[in-house]
Parts: sequence; structure tokens; C-alpha cells
Amino acid sequence: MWWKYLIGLLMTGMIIAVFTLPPPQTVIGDASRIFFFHVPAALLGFLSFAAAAIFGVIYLKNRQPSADRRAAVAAEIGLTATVIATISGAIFAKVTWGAYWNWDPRQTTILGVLLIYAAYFALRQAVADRQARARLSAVYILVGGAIAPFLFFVLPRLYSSLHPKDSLVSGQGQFVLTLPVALTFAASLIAFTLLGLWLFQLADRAERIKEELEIKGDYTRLPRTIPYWP
Amino acid sequence: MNKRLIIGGAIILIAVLLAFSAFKGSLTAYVDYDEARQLNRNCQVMGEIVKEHVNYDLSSGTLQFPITDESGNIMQVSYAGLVPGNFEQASSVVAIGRYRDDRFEANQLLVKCPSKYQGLEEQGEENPHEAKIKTGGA
Repeated sequence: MWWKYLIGLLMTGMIIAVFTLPPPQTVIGDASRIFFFHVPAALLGFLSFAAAAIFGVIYLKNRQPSADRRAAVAAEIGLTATVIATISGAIFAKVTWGAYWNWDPRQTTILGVLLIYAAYFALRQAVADRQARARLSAVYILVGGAIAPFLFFVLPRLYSSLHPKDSLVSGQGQFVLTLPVALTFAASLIAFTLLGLWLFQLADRAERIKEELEIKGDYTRLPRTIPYWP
Repeated sequence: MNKRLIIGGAIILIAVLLAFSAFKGSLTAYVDYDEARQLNRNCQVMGEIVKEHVNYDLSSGTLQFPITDESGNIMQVSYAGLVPGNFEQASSVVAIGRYRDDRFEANQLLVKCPSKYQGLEEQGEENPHEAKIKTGGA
């Protein structure tokens, strides 16, 4: 429970710090502050996909419906975070490069990630049988998890790209952020990751309640305020 | 280790590698200079600006500069549009357009800027390695 208060404090402090501590960049000015939201969103996306793959492995080992449900919830958060990273990245690109989308390798690979995980939910929709769905999705999310690191980290670095590679560590291997900027950045990474964890907890609980009600067929227990379509 | 797991993993790995090798060229929109010279359509080329040879041609109203890629190939670019505000700070550019009459005629320039979050660059401090855009006649 305590860490949820911490998220509130961290998020507030981080947002204030983002707009006060780092000086505006010489070239693009205040727009550079997108960095502190764009990078953590991408990181949360990647971590969620990694978590989804781990839940996929757990499902294949113990065949518990809970693992299947958690894999889906993690993938959902990952997809949302990656969409946020993509959109903020396109806005960032417009400001720095001059175009929202020009099929830079970084943009092509992140689109690949989005398609892979969108297809995961299409797969889940397509299989009616619970166990077959869980088994197939577990294998799929595992394969997705094997490909994601390449699309996130490896491939964009193999091509020349407009996307910066040296915002954190310079070409000479030196850490380039000053202490206040580094602290702001660290706070934003931690805040986003913890927020993702909290979202995961909430969404998982909601899904569990939904599943339990479906299995029992006892819809009368649903509170009146929640709209319900049979 | 489970035998089926190893075989399954190997099949997935091979499939992924095959897919990557098939899509290798399509993952980037940037074509190399030789390809750009052959292509009779719009494409994107990327390269480092040769700062010493940036020239604004007043008679034709075009910005002229060569770009070089990692292996040292050179492509002459001419651009008639509005020069992007951060062109002077740019290290690399992407030129979108087509090759015509010995040069790449760009209709859009995308610039790659050094990303600086360290706040070292204060007002008035200038990078000595950057040449100003020279203006000259035809």
C-alpha cells in the first residue's frame, strides 16, 4: 500500500522537476522535456512485454488460468505504454527532425512491436476454448518476448537513424547527464514503472473478478452501477 | 532439458532469423547513394553534412551541400525550400526527394541534432567546429 503513496509523490515531484530542473535545450528548447515521458513509456512497454513472456512460461509450466490472465494483462499495459512512446516519439520527431513519420528504422521496428502485440489480442479473441486459448497465447507471447528485445534495442542500432543513441552515454562511453537531470530522469523511470505495476495489479484484479463471475454465471452479484450487456 | 523444447526453440530462432534477413532492406527507408541515383522516384538519403561546402546559392535560391555516408561516398544535395531552423546545429540530415541532373533534389530536409540534456550549452557559447552557412553567387 505504501508504495502507491510513493508513486503519487514521485510522479508529482518528477513532473515539477522536469519543467524546472533541466535547462531548455539549445536547439529545440522546451520540447526536449518530452524525453522524460517518452523514454520511460518505452521502457515500461518493454518491461511489460518481458513480464508477459515470463507469465507465458509460468502458464506453460503450471497451466494455471491466473498465469494466462496475467500474461494478457501485462501485454495490455505493454501495448498501451508502447503506443504512448510511439505517439510521443512522433511528436518529438516533428519538433527535432521535421516530420512526424518518415519510416526511420526506429519507427519501423516499433511499428513491428505494436503489430506483434496487437495480433496477440486478435489471437485471444479468435480462440473460444479457454484452455486452447491460454496455451496458444502463452506460446505466442513467448515468441513475441524473444523478438521484442531485437526490435527495441538491437535492430535500430544496426542502421543509421535520426533517433539519438547518445542522449545518456556519449560515443566515448561517458555518462553525459548532470546530476539534477540524471535524478529527474531516474525518478521518471521509477515512477512510470511503479505506475505500470499498480495498473497491472488493478487490471489483474478486475479481470479475476470478471472471470469468477463468468464461471459462476452469477451476474446478479455485479453491482448495479456497472453497465452490463448479456 | 526437454527435447521438444530445444527443437521448438531452434525452429522459432531459425524462423525469426529468416524473417529478419528477408526484411533487412525494408526496415530502413534510407537508400544508399548508388541506389538513389538509379531510382527514378522519391526516396530518402541520409548522410553527414560536409560543413565546409555548405553554400546558399542566391541566384537559384537553393541550399547546396554535399553529404557523406559511413563508407565515404559523397552525394551533392540541393534544396529549394525553407531551411529548417536547426540546420546549422545539425550533424546529419535526411534528404527526401529524387536524383536529377547530377544532384539529389530534395523537397524536404529532416535534421539530426545532437541531443543535449546536460545543460552545458548556455547562451552565447558557440561550437567552434560549426561553420556558418556561407552565401555566395552562382
